[in-house]
Amino acid sequence: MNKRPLPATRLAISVLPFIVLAAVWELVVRLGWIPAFVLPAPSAVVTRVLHDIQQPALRMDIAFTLSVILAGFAIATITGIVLGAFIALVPAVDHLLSPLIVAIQTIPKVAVAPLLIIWFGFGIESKIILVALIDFFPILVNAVSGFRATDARQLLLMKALRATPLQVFFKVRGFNALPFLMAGMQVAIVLSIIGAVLGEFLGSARGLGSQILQRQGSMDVIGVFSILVLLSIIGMSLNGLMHWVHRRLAFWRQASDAVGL
Amino acid sequence: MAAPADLAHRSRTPMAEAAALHSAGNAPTHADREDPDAAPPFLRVRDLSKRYASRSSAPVDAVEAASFDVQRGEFISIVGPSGCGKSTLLNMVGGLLPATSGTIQFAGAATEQAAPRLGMVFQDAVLLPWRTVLRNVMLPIEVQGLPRGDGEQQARRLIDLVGLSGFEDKYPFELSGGMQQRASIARALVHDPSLLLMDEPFAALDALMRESMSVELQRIWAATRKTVLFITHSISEAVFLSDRIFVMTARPSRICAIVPVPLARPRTMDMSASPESMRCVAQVKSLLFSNGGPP
Repeated sequence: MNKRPLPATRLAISVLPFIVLAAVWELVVRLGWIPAFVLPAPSAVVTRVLHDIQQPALRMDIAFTLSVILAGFAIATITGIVLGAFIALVPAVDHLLSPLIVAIQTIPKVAVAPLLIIWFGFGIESKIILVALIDFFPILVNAVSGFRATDARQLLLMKALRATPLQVFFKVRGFNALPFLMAGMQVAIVLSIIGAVLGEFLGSARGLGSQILQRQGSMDVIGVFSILVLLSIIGMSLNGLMHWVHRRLAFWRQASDAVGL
Repeated sequence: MAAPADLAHRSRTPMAEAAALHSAGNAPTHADREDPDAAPPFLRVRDLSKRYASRSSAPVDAVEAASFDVQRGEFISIVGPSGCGKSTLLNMVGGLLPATSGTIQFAGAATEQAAPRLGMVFQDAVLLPWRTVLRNVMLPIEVQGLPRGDGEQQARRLIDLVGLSGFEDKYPFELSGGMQQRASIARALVHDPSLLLMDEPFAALDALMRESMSVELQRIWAATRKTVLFITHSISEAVFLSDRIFVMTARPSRICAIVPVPLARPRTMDMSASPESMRCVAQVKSLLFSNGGPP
Protein backbone atom coordinates (compact mmCIF):
# COMPACT_ATOMS: atom_id res chain seq x y z
CA MET A 1 0.00 0.00 0.00
CA ASN A 2 1.18 3.46 -0.92
CA LYS A 3 0.76 5.71 2.09
CA ARG A 4 -0.04 9.34 1.49
CA PRO A 5 2.54 11.57 3.14
CA LEU A 6 1.37 13.68 6.05
CA PRO A 7 0.46 17.32 5.26
CA ALA A 8 3.49 18.60 7.13
CA THR A 9 5.79 16.24 5.23
CA ARG A 10 4.17 17.23 1.94
CA LEU A 11 4.67 20.91 2.75
CA ALA A 12 8.31 20.34 3.62
CA ILE A 13 8.84 18.51 0.33
CA SER A 14 7.23 21.35 -1.65
CA VAL A 15 9.27 24.03 0.11
CA LEU A 16 12.59 22.20 -0.33
CA PRO A 17 13.23 23.22 -3.99
CA PHE A 18 12.70 26.90 -3.07
CA ILE A 19 15.28 26.65 -0.28
CA VAL A 20 17.80 24.86 -2.45
CA LEU A 21 17.36 27.35 -5.31
CA ALA A 22 17.70 30.34 -2.96
CA ALA A 23 20.78 28.86 -1.30
CA VAL A 24 22.57 28.13 -4.59
CA TRP A 25 21.61 31.54 -5.98
CA GLU A 26 22.83 33.34 -2.84
CA LEU A 27 26.09 31.42 -2.94
CA VAL A 28 26.69 32.16 -6.62
CA VAL A 29 26.26 35.91 -6.05
CA ARG A 30 28.27 35.98 -2.80
CA LEU A 31 31.14 34.17 -4.46
CA GLY A 32 31.09 36.85 -7.13
CA TRP A 33 30.50 34.44 -10.03
CA ILE A 34 27.68 36.69 -11.22
CA PRO A 35 27.82 40.43 -10.51
CA ALA A 36 25.13 41.68 -8.11
CA PHE A 37 23.97 44.42 -10.52
CA VAL A 38 22.99 41.68 -13.01
CA LEU A 39 21.55 39.17 -10.57
CA PRO A 40 20.97 40.43 -7.04
CA ALA A 41 21.25 37.98 -4.15
CA PRO A 42 17.99 36.68 -2.68
CA SER A 43 18.82 38.26 0.65
CA ALA A 44 19.14 41.65 -1.03
CA VAL A 45 15.82 41.15 -2.83
CA VAL A 46 14.07 40.23 0.43
CA THR A 47 15.46 43.33 2.10
CA ARG A 48 14.24 45.46 -0.81
CA VAL A 49 10.75 43.88 -0.69
CA LEU A 50 10.47 44.62 3.01
CA HIS A 51 11.56 48.21 2.29
CA ASP A 52 9.22 48.58 -0.70
CA ILE A 53 6.06 47.50 1.08
CA GLN A 54 6.54 50.29 3.58
CA GLN A 55 6.47 52.94 0.87
CA PRO A 56 3.00 54.57 0.57
CA ALA A 57 3.53 55.17 -3.18
CA LEU A 58 4.27 51.50 -3.84
CA ARG A 59 1.33 50.44 -1.71
CA MET A 60 -0.84 52.54 -4.01
CA ASP A 61 0.64 50.68 -6.98
CA ILE A 62 -0.20 47.34 -5.37
CA ALA A 63 -3.74 48.52 -4.70
CA PHE A 64 -4.06 49.75 -8.30
CA THR A 65 -2.90 46.45 -9.80
CA LEU A 66 -5.08 44.42 -7.41
CA SER A 67 -8.10 46.56 -8.36
CA VAL A 68 -7.43 45.95 -12.06
CA ILE A 69 -7.12 42.20 -11.46
CA LEU A 70 -10.22 41.86 -9.33
CA ALA A 71 -12.46 44.18 -11.36
CA GLY A 72 -11.51 42.55 -14.69
CA PHE A 73 -11.91 39.09 -13.20
CA ALA A 74 -15.32 39.94 -11.75
CA ILE A 75 -16.61 41.33 -15.06
CA ALA A 76 -15.35 38.27 -16.96
CA THR A 77 -16.80 35.88 -14.36
CA ILE A 78 -20.28 37.39 -14.43
CA THR A 79 -20.52 37.83 -18.20
CA GLY A 80 -18.84 34.47 -18.87
CA ILE A 81 -21.19 32.53 -16.61
CA VAL A 82 -24.37 34.26 -17.78
CA LEU A 83 -23.47 33.98 -21.46
CA GLY A 84 -22.20 30.43 -20.94
CA ALA A 85 -25.53 29.39 -19.45
CA PHE A 86 -27.42 30.85 -22.39
CA ILE A 87 -25.11 29.27 -24.97
CA ALA A 88 -25.33 25.90 -23.22
CA LEU A 89 -29.10 25.86 -22.82
CA VAL A 90 -30.54 27.95 -25.67
CA PRO A 91 -29.55 26.48 -29.06
CA ALA A 92 -30.44 29.71 -30.89
CA VAL A 93 -27.99 31.71 -28.78
CA ASP A 94 -25.37 29.04 -29.37
CA HIS A 95 -25.74 29.22 -33.16
CA LEU A 96 -25.91 33.00 -33.07
CA LEU A 97 -22.93 33.81 -30.89
CA SER A 98 -20.53 30.87 -30.76
CA PRO A 99 -18.85 31.46 -34.17
CA LEU A 100 -18.38 35.13 -33.33
CA ILE A 101 -16.89 34.35 -29.92
CA VAL A 102 -14.48 31.79 -31.38
CA ALA A 103 -13.45 34.30 -34.06
CA ILE A 104 -12.75 36.94 -31.42
CA GLN A 105 -10.84 34.42 -29.33
CA THR A 106 -8.43 33.74 -32.21
CA ILE A 107 -7.16 37.33 -32.01
CA PRO A 108 -4.32 37.55 -29.49
CA LYS A 109 -5.47 39.83 -26.68
CA VAL A 110 -1.95 41.24 -26.39
CA ALA A 111 -2.34 42.61 -29.90
CA VAL A 112 -5.61 44.29 -28.99
CA ALA A 113 -4.18 46.03 -25.95
CA PRO A 114 -2.86 49.12 -27.84
CA LEU A 115 -6.32 49.68 -29.30
CA LEU A 116 -7.86 49.50 -25.85
CA ILE A 117 -5.50 52.27 -24.73
CA ILE A 118 -6.67 54.43 -27.66
CA TRP A 119 -10.33 53.73 -26.96
CA PHE A 120 -10.39 53.81 -23.19
CA GLY A 121 -7.42 55.96 -22.34
CA PHE A 122 -4.46 55.57 -20.00
CA GLY A 123 -6.62 55.23 -16.90
CA ILE A 124 -7.72 52.12 -15.05
CA GLU A 125 -10.59 51.37 -17.49
CA SER A 126 -8.44 50.12 -20.36
CA LYS A 127 -6.55 47.75 -18.00
CA ILE A 128 -9.75 46.36 -16.49
CA ILE A 129 -11.18 45.73 -19.95
CA LEU A 130 -8.00 43.98 -21.08
CA VAL A 131 -8.08 41.68 -18.03
CA ALA A 132 -11.78 41.00 -18.57
CA LEU A 133 -11.12 40.11 -22.22
CA ILE A 134 -8.30 37.73 -21.33
CA ASP A 135 -10.29 36.08 -18.50
CA PHE A 136 -13.55 35.83 -20.40
CA PHE A 137 -12.81 32.90 -22.68
CA PRO A 138 -11.67 30.25 -20.18
CA ILE A 139 -14.60 31.10 -17.94
CA LEU A 140 -17.07 31.00 -20.83
CA VAL A 141 -15.81 27.70 -22.24
CA ASN A 142 -15.90 26.01 -18.85
CA ALA A 143 -19.34 27.45 -18.11
CA VAL A 144 -20.71 26.07 -21.39
CA SER A 145 -19.37 22.57 -20.69
CA GLY A 146 -20.49 22.86 -17.07
CA PHE A 147 -24.09 23.77 -17.83
CA ARG A 148 -24.19 21.01 -20.44
CA ALA A 149 -22.69 18.40 -18.10
CA THR A 150 -25.90 17.67 -16.23
CA ASP A 151 -26.58 14.00 -15.62
CA ALA A 152 -29.52 12.89 -17.81
CA ARG A 153 -30.85 10.77 -14.94
CA GLN A 154 -31.05 13.83 -12.69
CA LEU A 155 -33.03 15.61 -15.40
CA LEU A 156 -35.41 12.66 -15.66
CA LEU A 157 -35.85 12.74 -11.89
CA MET A 158 -36.74 16.43 -12.04
CA LYS A 159 -39.14 15.73 -14.89
CA ALA A 160 -40.86 13.03 -12.83
CA LEU A 161 -41.28 15.64 -10.08
CA ARG A 162 -42.78 18.05 -12.66
CA ALA A 163 -40.09 20.62 -11.93
CA THR A 164 -40.13 23.94 -13.77
CA PRO A 165 -37.17 24.87 -16.03
CA LEU A 166 -36.03 27.43 -13.44
CA GLN A 167 -36.10 24.78 -10.69
CA VAL A 168 -34.09 22.45 -12.88
CA PHE A 169 -31.57 25.24 -13.47
CA PHE A 170 -31.12 26.31 -9.87
CA LYS A 171 -31.46 22.93 -8.15
CA VAL A 172 -29.61 20.71 -10.63
CA ARG A 173 -27.83 22.39 -13.55
CA GLY A 174 -26.17 25.11 -11.51
CA PHE A 175 -24.67 22.64 -9.08
CA ASN A 176 -23.47 20.36 -11.85
CA ALA A 177 -21.79 23.35 -13.49
CA LEU A 178 -20.14 24.56 -10.28
CA PRO A 179 -16.94 22.45 -10.45
CA PHE A 180 -16.47 23.57 -14.07
CA LEU A 181 -17.07 27.22 -13.21
CA MET A 182 -14.52 27.02 -10.42
CA ALA A 183 -11.98 25.37 -12.73
CA GLY A 184 -12.45 28.12 -15.31
CA MET A 185 -12.13 30.82 -12.66
CA GLN A 186 -8.95 29.24 -11.36
CA VAL A 187 -7.41 29.46 -14.82
CA ALA A 188 -8.70 33.02 -15.25
CA ILE A 189 -7.39 34.42 -11.97
CA VAL A 190 -3.83 33.54 -12.98
CA LEU A 191 -4.35 35.08 -16.43
CA SER A 192 -5.66 38.24 -14.72
CA ILE A 193 -2.24 39.02 -13.33
CA ILE A 194 -0.63 38.70 -16.75
CA GLY A 195 -3.33 40.94 -18.21
CA ALA A 196 -2.96 43.59 -15.53
CA VAL A 197 0.84 43.82 -15.86
CA LEU A 198 0.59 43.84 -19.65
CA GLY A 199 -1.96 46.65 -19.55
CA GLU A 200 0.26 48.69 -17.26
CA PHE A 201 3.28 48.09 -19.49
CA LEU A 202 1.50 49.65 -22.43
CA GLY A 203 0.74 52.92 -20.83
CA SER A 204 0.15 53.73 -17.24
CA ALA A 205 1.59 55.92 -14.56
CA ARG A 206 0.39 53.60 -11.86
CA GLY A 207 0.46 49.94 -10.95
CA LEU A 208 3.19 47.34 -10.47
CA GLY A 209 3.65 46.94 -14.23
CA SER A 210 4.54 50.58 -14.70
CA GLN A 211 6.83 50.36 -11.64
CA ILE A 212 8.76 47.60 -13.39
CA LEU A 213 9.26 49.85 -16.43
CA GLN A 214 10.33 52.83 -14.29
CA ARG A 215 12.86 50.72 -12.37
CA GLN A 216 14.11 49.18 -15.57
CA GLY A 217 14.73 52.72 -16.82
CA SER A 218 17.00 53.45 -13.89
CA MET A 219 18.75 50.03 -14.10
CA ASP A 220 17.32 49.19 -10.67
CA VAL A 221 17.56 45.40 -11.03
CA ILE A 222 16.94 44.69 -7.35
CA GLY A 223 13.86 46.92 -7.58
CA VAL A 224 12.52 44.92 -10.56
CA PHE A 225 13.09 41.68 -8.67
CA SER A 226 11.23 43.12 -5.70
CA ILE A 227 8.18 43.83 -7.89
CA LEU A 228 8.41 40.32 -9.35
CA VAL A 229 8.31 38.90 -5.83
CA LEU A 230 5.29 41.04 -4.98
CA LEU A 231 3.49 39.93 -8.16
CA SER A 232 4.30 36.33 -7.40
CA ILE A 233 2.91 36.70 -3.87
CA ILE A 234 -0.28 38.25 -5.26
CA GLY A 235 -0.55 35.42 -7.78
CA MET A 236 -0.04 32.65 -5.25
CA SER A 237 -2.47 34.21 -2.79
CA LEU A 238 -5.24 34.64 -5.36
CA ASN A 239 -4.67 31.15 -6.73
CA GLY A 240 -4.71 29.68 -3.23
CA LEU A 241 -7.88 31.59 -2.42
CA MET A 242 -9.61 30.30 -5.57
CA HIS A 243 -8.46 26.78 -4.77
CA TRP A 244 -9.90 27.05 -1.28
CA VAL A 245 -13.21 28.44 -2.55
CA HIS A 246 -13.34 25.65 -5.14
CA ARG A 247 -12.90 22.96 -2.53
CA ARG A 248 -15.44 24.55 -0.23
CA LEU A 249 -18.14 25.07 -2.86
CA ALA A 250 -17.70 21.95 -4.99
CA PHE A 251 -16.80 19.66 -2.14
CA TRP A 252 -18.48 16.59 -3.63
CA ARG A 253 -16.29 16.50 -6.68
CA GLN A 254 -12.69 17.56 -7.15
CA ALA A 255 -11.99 16.05 -10.53
CA SER A 256 -12.84 18.42 -13.32
CA ASP A 257 -10.18 19.50 -15.71
CA ALA A 258 -10.05 23.08 -16.79
CA VAL A 259 -10.32 23.64 -20.52
CA GLY A 260 -9.69 26.60 -22.76
CA LEU A 261 -6.31 27.68 -21.45
CA MET B 1 -53.30 2.14 -39.06
CA ALA B 2 -54.38 4.48 -36.30
CA ALA B 3 -57.92 5.74 -36.64
CA PRO B 4 -58.94 9.13 -35.27
CA ALA B 5 -59.82 9.69 -31.73
CA ASP B 6 -61.91 7.69 -29.43
CA LEU B 7 -63.28 10.75 -27.72
CA ALA B 8 -64.95 8.75 -25.00
CA HIS B 9 -61.61 8.77 -23.16
CA ARG B 10 -61.64 12.25 -21.74
CA SER B 11 -58.05 12.15 -20.69
CA ARG B 12 -56.68 15.52 -19.64
CA THR B 13 -53.37 14.14 -18.54
CA PRO B 14 -50.16 15.23 -20.31
CA MET B 15 -50.83 12.26 -22.51
CA ALA B 16 -54.00 13.90 -23.77
CA GLU B 17 -52.57 14.46 -27.24
CA ALA B 18 -51.49 10.88 -27.38
CA ALA B 19 -54.94 9.85 -26.29
CA ALA B 20 -56.36 11.48 -29.38
CA LEU B 21 -55.14 8.52 -31.36
CA HIS B 22 -56.68 5.18 -30.73
CA SER B 23 -55.70 2.23 -32.83
CA ALA B 24 -58.76 0.52 -34.18
CA GLY B 25 -59.43 -3.10 -34.91
CA ASN B 26 -57.60 -4.63 -31.98
CA ALA B 27 -58.85 -7.88 -30.61
CA PRO B 28 -60.53 -7.17 -27.29
CA THR B 29 -58.39 -8.07 -24.33
CA HIS B 30 -59.72 -9.16 -20.98
CA ALA B 31 -59.44 -5.59 -19.75
CA ASP B 32 -61.89 -4.39 -22.38
CA ARG B 33 -64.70 -6.39 -20.87
CA GLU B 34 -65.65 -3.75 -18.36
CA ASP B 35 -68.16 -4.12 -15.61
CA PRO B 36 -70.11 -0.84 -15.62
CA ASP B 37 -71.03 -1.18 -11.92
CA ALA B 38 -67.48 -1.60 -10.67
CA ALA B 39 -65.60 1.45 -9.36
CA PRO B 40 -63.15 2.74 -11.97
CA PRO B 41 -59.67 1.33 -11.50
CA PHE B 42 -56.93 3.58 -10.19
CA LEU B 43 -55.14 3.33 -13.50
CA ARG B 44 -56.64 2.31 -16.81
CA VAL B 45 -54.37 1.83 -19.80
CA ARG B 46 -55.81 1.06 -23.23
CA ASP B 47 -53.94 0.18 -26.43
CA LEU B 48 -50.89 2.12 -25.34
CA SER B 49 -48.19 2.09 -28.01
CA LYS B 50 -44.85 3.71 -28.57
CA ARG B 51 -43.27 3.73 -32.01
CA TYR B 52 -39.85 5.15 -32.68
CA ALA B 53 -39.18 6.38 -36.19
CA SER B 54 -35.88 5.11 -37.54
CA ARG B 55 -34.01 6.77 -40.36
CA SER B 56 -32.27 3.66 -41.59
CA SER B 57 -34.90 0.97 -41.19
CA ALA B 58 -38.56 0.34 -40.51
CA PRO B 59 -40.02 2.08 -37.45
CA VAL B 60 -39.47 0.26 -34.18
CA ASP B 61 -42.40 -0.52 -31.92
CA ALA B 62 -41.08 -0.21 -28.38
CA VAL B 63 -44.48 -0.99 -26.89
CA GLU B 64 -47.47 -2.38 -28.78
CA ALA B 65 -51.06 -1.99 -27.69
CA ALA B 66 -50.65 -2.46 -23.95
CA SER B 67 -53.97 -2.62 -22.11
CA PHE B 68 -54.40 -3.21 -18.40
CA ASP B 69 -56.05 -1.95 -15.23
CA VAL B 70 -54.34 -1.39 -11.92
CA GLN B 71 -56.31 -1.12 -8.68
CA ARG B 72 -55.41 1.35 -5.96
CA GLY B 73 -52.78 -0.08 -3.65
CA GLU B 74 -51.80 -2.91 -5.98
CA PHE B 75 -48.20 -4.02 -6.36
CA ILE B 76 -47.56 -4.85 -10.02
CA SER B 77 -44.31 -6.25 -11.35
CA ILE B 78 -43.35 -6.09 -15.02
CA VAL B 79 -40.96 -8.79 -16.20
CA GLY B 80 -39.62 -9.48 -19.65
CA PRO B 81 -36.44 -9.85 -21.67
CA SER B 82 -34.12 -6.90 -22.21
CA GLY B 83 -35.38 -4.50 -24.84
CA CYS B 84 -39.01 -5.55 -24.54
CA GLY B 85 -40.15 -2.03 -23.71
CA LYS B 86 -40.62 -2.32 -19.94
CA SER B 87 -39.02 1.04 -19.21
CA THR B 88 -40.78 2.69 -22.14
CA LEU B 89 -44.12 1.49 -20.77
CA LEU B 90 -43.25 2.73 -17.27
CA ASN B 91 -42.09 6.13 -18.53
CA MET B 92 -45.25 6.58 -20.59
CA VAL B 93 -47.43 5.79 -17.57
CA GLY B 94 -45.39 8.30 -15.56
CA GLY B 95 -45.81 10.99 -18.20
CA LEU B 96 -42.06 11.15 -18.85
CA LEU B 97 -42.45 10.00 -22.44
CA PRO B 98 -45.28 10.83 -24.83
CA ALA B 99 -47.17 7.82 -26.16
CA THR B 100 -47.64 7.33 -29.89
CA SER B 101 -51.20 6.15 -29.39
CA GLY B 102 -53.53 4.83 -26.75
CA THR B 103 -54.89 6.20 -23.50
CA ILE B 104 -53.75 6.36 -19.91
CA GLN B 105 -56.39 7.35 -17.43
CA PHE B 106 -56.06 7.78 -13.71
CA ALA B 107 -59.13 7.61 -11.47
CA GLY B 108 -60.38 11.17 -11.09
CA ALA B 109 -57.72 12.49 -13.44
CA ALA B 110 -60.34 13.75 -15.88
CA THR B 111 -60.90 16.63 -13.50
CA GLU B 112 -57.23 17.20 -12.81
CA GLN B 113 -54.78 19.05 -14.96
CA ALA B 114 -51.90 16.65 -14.54
CA ALA B 115 -51.21 13.01 -13.86
CA PRO B 116 -51.17 12.10 -10.18
CA ARG B 117 -48.20 12.73 -7.96
CA LEU B 118 -45.47 10.42 -8.96
CA GLY B 119 -42.66 8.76 -7.04
CA MET B 120 -39.84 7.41 -9.16
CA VAL B 121 -36.99 5.06 -8.27
CA PHE B 122 -34.32 4.34 -10.86
CA GLN B 123 -31.73 1.62 -11.31
CA ASP B 124 -29.20 3.96 -9.69
CA ALA B 125 -30.13 6.03 -6.69
CA VAL B 126 -29.61 9.33 -8.61
CA LEU B 127 -29.12 11.30 -5.41
CA LEU B 128 -27.87 14.85 -5.82
CA PRO B 129 -24.30 14.62 -4.51
CA TRP B 130 -24.24 18.16 -3.09
CA ARG B 131 -27.22 17.49 -0.84
CA THR B 132 -27.30 15.57 2.42
CA VAL B 133 -29.60 12.57 2.73
CA LEU B 134 -32.27 14.71 4.41
CA ARG B 135 -32.05 17.45 1.77
CA ASN B 136 -32.18 14.82 -0.99
CA VAL B 137 -35.31 13.32 0.50
CA MET B 138 -36.74 16.84 0.78
CA LEU B 139 -36.26 17.55 -2.94
CA PRO B 140 -39.82 16.63 -4.04
CA ILE B 141 -41.24 18.80 -1.23
CA GLU B 142 -39.21 21.78 -2.45
CA VAL B 143 -39.93 21.25 -6.13
CA GLN B 144 -43.65 20.88 -5.63
CA GLY B 145 -43.85 23.75 -3.18
CA LEU B 146 -45.31 21.70 -0.33
CA PRO B 147 -45.08 23.03 3.25
CA ARG B 148 -41.50 22.58 4.47
CA GLY B 149 -42.29 21.90 8.12
CA ASP B 150 -44.63 18.98 7.47
CA GLY B 151 -42.36 17.87 4.65
CA GLU B 152 -39.35 17.64 6.89
CA GLN B 153 -41.28 15.63 9.48
CA GLN B 154 -42.41 13.27 6.76
CA ALA B 155 -38.85 13.06 5.37
CA ARG B 156 -37.43 12.16 8.78
CA ARG B 157 -40.17 9.57 9.30
CA LEU B 158 -39.40 7.96 5.92
CA ILE B 159 -35.64 8.04 6.48
CA ASP B 160 -36.39 6.11 9.65
CA LEU B 161 -38.69 3.73 7.75
CA VAL B 162 -35.98 2.87 5.21
CA GLY B 163 -33.51 2.31 8.05
CA LEU B 164 -31.29 5.36 7.57
CA SER B 165 -31.84 7.11 10.93
CA GLY B 166 -28.63 8.74 11.98
CA PHE B 167 -27.54 9.29 8.38
CA GLU B 168 -29.73 12.37 7.73
CA ASP B 169 -26.76 14.70 7.50
CA LYS B 170 -24.44 12.41 5.53
CA TYR B 171 -23.67 13.06 1.89
CA PRO B 172 -24.38 10.38 -0.74
CA PHE B 173 -20.67 9.64 -1.27
CA GLU B 174 -20.48 8.65 2.39
CA LEU B 175 -23.13 5.91 1.93
CA SER B 176 -23.01 2.41 0.44
CA GLY B 177 -24.94 1.61 -2.74
CA GLY B 178 -27.75 -0.08 -0.82
CA MET B 179 -28.09 2.85 1.56
CA GLN B 180 -28.19 5.29 -1.36
CA GLN B 181 -30.95 3.27 -2.97
CA ARG B 182 -32.93 3.26 0.28
CA ALA B 183 -32.56 7.03 0.47
CA SER B 184 -33.92 7.28 -3.06
CA ILE B 185 -36.93 5.15 -2.03
CA ALA B 186 -37.57 7.56 0.85
CA ARG B 187 -37.33 10.45 -1.63
CA ALA B 188 -39.84 8.75 -3.93
CA LEU B 189 -42.37 8.53 -1.08
CA VAL B 190 -41.93 11.85 0.71
CA HIS B 191 -44.49 13.87 -1.24
CA ASP B 192 -47.09 11.15 -0.69
CA PRO B 193 -47.36 10.12 -4.34
CA SER B 194 -50.31 7.98 -5.32
CA LEU B 195 -48.18 6.05 -7.81
CA LEU B 196 -44.70 4.66 -7.32
CA LEU B 197 -42.73 3.72 -10.43
CA MET B 198 -39.63 1.59 -9.87
CA ASP B 199 -37.37 0.85 -12.83
CA GLU B 200 -35.15 -2.07 -11.80
CA PRO B 201 -34.34 -0.41 -8.49
CA PHE B 202 -32.22 -3.27 -7.18
CA ALA B 203 -30.32 -4.11 -10.37
CA ALA B 204 -27.11 -2.49 -9.20
CA LEU B 205 -27.04 -4.32 -5.86
CA ASP B 206 -25.41 -7.63 -5.02
CA ALA B 207 -27.60 -10.71 -4.53
CA LEU B 208 -27.74 -10.64 -0.73
CA MET B 209 -28.44 -6.93 -0.56
CA ARG B 210 -31.10 -7.45 -3.18
CA GLU B 211 -32.99 -9.98 -1.09
CA SER B 212 -32.94 -7.85 2.01
CA MET B 213 -34.03 -4.82 -0.03
CA SER B 214 -36.99 -6.85 -1.34
CA VAL B 215 -38.02 -7.62 2.22
CA GLU B 216 -37.61 -3.93 3.10
CA LEU B 217 -39.64 -2.85 0.12
CA GLN B 218 -42.47 -5.19 1.04
CA ARG B 219 -42.45 -3.77 4.56
CA ILE B 220 -42.46 -0.18 3.25
CA TRP B 221 -45.23 -0.99 0.80
CA ALA B 222 -47.30 -2.61 3.55
CA ALA B 223 -46.80 0.51 5.68
CA THR B 224 -47.64 3.02 2.94
CA ARG B 225 -49.98 1.08 0.63
CA LYS B 226 -48.86 2.84 -2.52
CA THR B 227 -49.81 1.64 -5.96
CA VAL B 228 -46.54 0.32 -7.36
CA LEU B 229 -45.32 -0.51 -10.85
CA PHE B 230 -42.05 -2.38 -10.43
CA ILE B 231 -39.76 -3.47 -13.26
CA THR B 232 -37.41 -6.34 -12.54
CA HIS B 233 -35.37 -9.02 -14.26
CA SER B 234 -35.73 -11.33 -11.30
CA ILE B 235 -38.78 -13.56 -11.49
CA SER B 236 -38.48 -14.67 -7.87
CA GLU B 237 -38.30 -11.03 -6.80
CA ALA B 238 -41.45 -10.31 -8.80
CA VAL B 239 -43.27 -13.29 -7.23
CA PHE B 240 -42.13 -12.31 -3.74
CA LEU B 241 -43.34 -8.72 -4.03
CA SER B 242 -46.30 -8.58 -6.38
CA ASP B 243 -50.03 -8.98 -6.43
CA ARG B 244 -49.89 -9.51 -10.16
CA ILE B 245 -47.08 -9.93 -12.66
CA PHE B 246 -47.21 -8.51 -16.19
CA VAL B 247 -45.16 -10.71 -18.49
CA MET B 248 -43.84 -8.89 -21.55
CA THR B 249 -42.30 -10.27 -24.72
CA ALA B 250 -39.90 -8.66 -27.15
CA ARG B 251 -40.70 -8.45 -30.87
CA PRO B 252 -43.57 -7.80 -30.69
CA SER B 253 -43.28 -5.81 -27.46
CA ARG B 254 -46.50 -6.83 -25.84
CA ILE B 255 -47.88 -7.83 -22.48
CA CYS B 256 -48.43 -11.50 -23.25
CA ALA B 257 -49.86 -12.53 -19.89
CA ILE B 258 -50.91 -11.23 -16.51
CA VAL B 259 -50.14 -13.71 -13.74
CA PRO B 260 -51.80 -13.30 -10.33
CA VAL B 261 -49.64 -14.25 -7.33
CA PRO B 262 -51.81 -16.18 -4.87
CA LEU B 263 -49.39 -16.00 -1.92
CA ALA B 264 -50.65 -14.65 1.41
CA ARG B 265 -49.12 -11.52 2.94
CA PRO B 266 -46.95 -10.67 4.71
CA ARG B 267 -44.49 -12.83 2.83
CA THR B 268 -41.18 -14.05 4.13
CA MET B 269 -38.10 -15.19 2.29
CA ASP B 270 -38.83 -18.77 3.46
CA MET B 271 -42.00 -18.67 1.40
CA SER B 272 -39.91 -18.45 -1.77
CA ALA B 273 -39.34 -22.17 -1.36
CA SER B 274 -43.05 -22.96 -0.95
CA PRO B 275 -44.79 -24.98 -3.70
CA GLU B 276 -47.16 -22.08 -4.54
CA SER B 277 -44.28 -19.71 -4.98
CA MET B 278 -42.29 -22.21 -7.03
CA ARG B 279 -45.30 -22.88 -9.22
CA CYS B 280 -45.75 -19.18 -9.82
CA VAL B 281 -42.08 -18.72 -10.75
CA ALA B 282 -42.28 -21.70 -13.10
CA GLN B 283 -45.42 -20.32 -14.72
CA VAL B 284 -43.84 -16.93 -15.40
CA LYS B 285 -40.68 -18.58 -16.64
CA SER B 286 -42.53 -20.80 -19.08
CA LEU B 287 -44.50 -17.79 -20.34
CA LEU B 288 -41.28 -15.90 -20.93
CA PHE B 289 -39.65 -18.78 -22.80
CA SER B 290 -42.68 -19.92 -24.79
CA ASN B 291 -43.24 -16.38 -26.07
CA GLY B 292 -39.98 -16.09 -27.84
CA GLY B 293 -38.10 -14.87 -24.81
CA PRO B 294 -34.34 -15.32 -24.89
CA PRO B 295 -33.55 -16.64 -28.37
